[in-house]
Amino acid sequence: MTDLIKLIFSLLVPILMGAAFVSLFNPKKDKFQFLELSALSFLIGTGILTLEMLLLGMLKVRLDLQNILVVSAVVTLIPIIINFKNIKPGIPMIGPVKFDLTLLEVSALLAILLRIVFVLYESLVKPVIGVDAFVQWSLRAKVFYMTSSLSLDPSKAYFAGGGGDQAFYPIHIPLLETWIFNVLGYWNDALVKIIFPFFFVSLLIIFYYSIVRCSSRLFALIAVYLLSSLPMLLHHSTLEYIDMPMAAYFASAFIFLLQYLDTEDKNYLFISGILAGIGTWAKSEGMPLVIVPVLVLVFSHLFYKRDLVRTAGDIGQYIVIVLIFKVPWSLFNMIYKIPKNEWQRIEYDKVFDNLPRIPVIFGQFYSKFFFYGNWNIAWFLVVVVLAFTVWKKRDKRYVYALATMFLTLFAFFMLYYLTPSYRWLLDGTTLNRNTLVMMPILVYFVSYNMYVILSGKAEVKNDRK
Amino acid sequence: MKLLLSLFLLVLCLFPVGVECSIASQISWAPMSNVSLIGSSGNRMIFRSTGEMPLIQSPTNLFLNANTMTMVKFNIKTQKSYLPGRLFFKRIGDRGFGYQNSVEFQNGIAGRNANILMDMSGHPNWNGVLDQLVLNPISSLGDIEISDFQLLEPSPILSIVSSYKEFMTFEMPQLRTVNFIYGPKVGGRSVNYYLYLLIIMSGLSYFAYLYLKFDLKTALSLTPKAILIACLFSWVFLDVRGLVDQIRTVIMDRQTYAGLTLDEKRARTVPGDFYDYIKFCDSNVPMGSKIGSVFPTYYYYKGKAAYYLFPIFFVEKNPDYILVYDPENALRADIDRYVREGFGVYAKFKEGKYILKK
Repeated sequence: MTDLIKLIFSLLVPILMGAAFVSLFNPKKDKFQFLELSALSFLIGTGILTLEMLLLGMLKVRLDLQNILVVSAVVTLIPIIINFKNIKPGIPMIGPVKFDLTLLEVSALLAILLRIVFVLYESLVKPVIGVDAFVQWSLRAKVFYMTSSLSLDPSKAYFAGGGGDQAFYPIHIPLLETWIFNVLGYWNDALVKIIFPFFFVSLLIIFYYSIVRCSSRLFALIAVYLLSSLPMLLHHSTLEYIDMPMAAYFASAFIFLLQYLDTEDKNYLFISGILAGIGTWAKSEGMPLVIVPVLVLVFSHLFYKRDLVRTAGDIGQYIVIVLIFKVPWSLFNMIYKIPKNEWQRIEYDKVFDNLPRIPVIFGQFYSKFFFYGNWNIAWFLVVVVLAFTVWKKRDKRYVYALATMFLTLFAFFMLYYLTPSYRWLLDGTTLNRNTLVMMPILVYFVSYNMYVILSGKAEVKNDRK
Repeated sequence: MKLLLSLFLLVLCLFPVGVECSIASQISWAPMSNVSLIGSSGNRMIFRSTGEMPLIQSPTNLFLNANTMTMVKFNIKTQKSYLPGRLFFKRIGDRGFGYQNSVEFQNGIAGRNANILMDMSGHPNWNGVLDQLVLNPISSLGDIEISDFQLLEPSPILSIVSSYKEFMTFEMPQLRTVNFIYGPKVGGRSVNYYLYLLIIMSGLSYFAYLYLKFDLKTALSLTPKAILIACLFSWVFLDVRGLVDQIRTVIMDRQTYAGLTLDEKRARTVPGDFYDYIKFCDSNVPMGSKIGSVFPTYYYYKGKAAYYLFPIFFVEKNPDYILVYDPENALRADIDRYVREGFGVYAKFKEGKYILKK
């Protein structure tokens, strides 16, 4: 019971921190429903908490519970002070609860809840088992906790937590685990896995609210059911790997970027930037993937808004926000001369030599996407939806989602074409783990278009403020 | 109505015909290694596994035609759920047994009879005349009950049943599952393939029907909706199948982990007694010591040891202690190298599992 209370506390702290920062972008408390706010606060709050821990560690402040809590309290006060005049008491947007669900809605909701229970049980029933976790991420979390530091002596065996030749990997999730060990008071590599179901649920909630605002409640629940039933996403949500949290950040960044492009409310742009920034802090693939929303911004303004100055301003602000989360870890790597990621070294000199890789890459995409059990028939659905819609008049949401999917897939294609990571494609190690980040966007694209086709509505309004 | 009744009666008649008219050959078994026979009655035999890879063997000179007897059918009851077993076969002319002449099957829930039915017609090497079979029923200690082991000629009903069993085979989560999931198969092919065919054919048929009955505009308007609904149903169908595996996973993990302490759970995540050996090292090697290792390379022993033992940590040069875990006595050369450098046994856990110190 004590551990349960401590776990709840360990999750509440980042949520409250995140809520304080989100309030900067939601002064009238009218943008988000309570659940959505909680999910968004968790994603943002965890990123801010671990960034703060990194900075403390770099300043050689002892990473114990007391120090982290004191600094977290100070950090949390900053947005509260900035936003002081706009603070309204009470929890935003909790209205009367209506139980008017139809049978189909109840079925979809039960199917989703079943998956959440499965993820929770499977995460907590067993300790860390994943190879990449016990040789790297979870090992580093243990080292950070037991030394109460980032282990900054380069001559020591466990410098920067260990991780060997993968020390360049960002440590957002290891530091989050370290935080939880500090709250628990001991090293428990089973209970710490609670964070992964929380990332899963946060993704589902944000996904739901993005769909429900431009469709019906039934359809939004069906869309969330489709997302929650993706076998690979579900499996990763029970594990201690970084891929699913990365998917949560990348997909959420896309969703809020879409909101900005729909409403032209800069607050959504900033939220998207923060989420993309935390993505760069979660996984090394996060930084190259930032190119995707930046290109979507360029695309939207050049082809829809045609305002170069505004485009440049938006992109500049977006990148600055991303860099807030990226720069500290990059500085750490520079100061301590941590070798770069050789697997993502671009081999410019082999652009033509690697031509034989093209059919192999496409072959792997084809077989793993369509004929394995990773993604149900999601990719087939994309083909079906494209076949029915690509020749019709398309709205912006369609174009942006398709552009994001295409650019992300192209980014992974180039990763395998131009870097030594090709080796990990051949043995099946990384393709599905990499493309996991774009699957929520794929399901979004499919669900949104299914709604348009099945409901017969040519254009769907977005009633988000 | 009459047509439906006729079809129903036809199926009813086919069922016993399908089963009883297949020519069957009963196979009996004897212990081969890591196993002893503890009981038998009729065609039921009970073995006790004494090692990680128990093997039982059929008589030699079976002289069974693999080209005609393509169905393997038997009942098996084990004490661990959902662990794989493997059937090896040797044909006349083969030098011995090998993995290329084998097929994996899956045991059922612990303590319950699992009815195994395998269609070997798709196996590239299941041909010629079978000389002998060897069965590795499960890679685990405990009692194993095998009954009614038969090789059969195929029949429509048996093919349907074996396809269903193949479809329902549990893809147990393993370390590689984090990278890819095979998904359910029928006839060795992904079920997705059949679903795509079904959706495309149904969609085209529906389009043709609407076009002929109404007009092109109606066909173009209604066909996409019908195809999308068919896709949704297919998704739910696959998902329900996935749900069965998720329930099995929960059952299996509950049997493995529920009610255990954290240490006991960690012990279940590594093979054999390796975690107990790690705990032994943890209590015998001073904190902060530098250690080297002599571990088998076929598992992540060193990675796991580094993870559990920190702040005792591994070094490449000048270790204070050497952890030796050599359960199969295959690492003598590496151990002797350290012995020549002046290392001697400091503490012993079990045979082949000890700590060296200079």
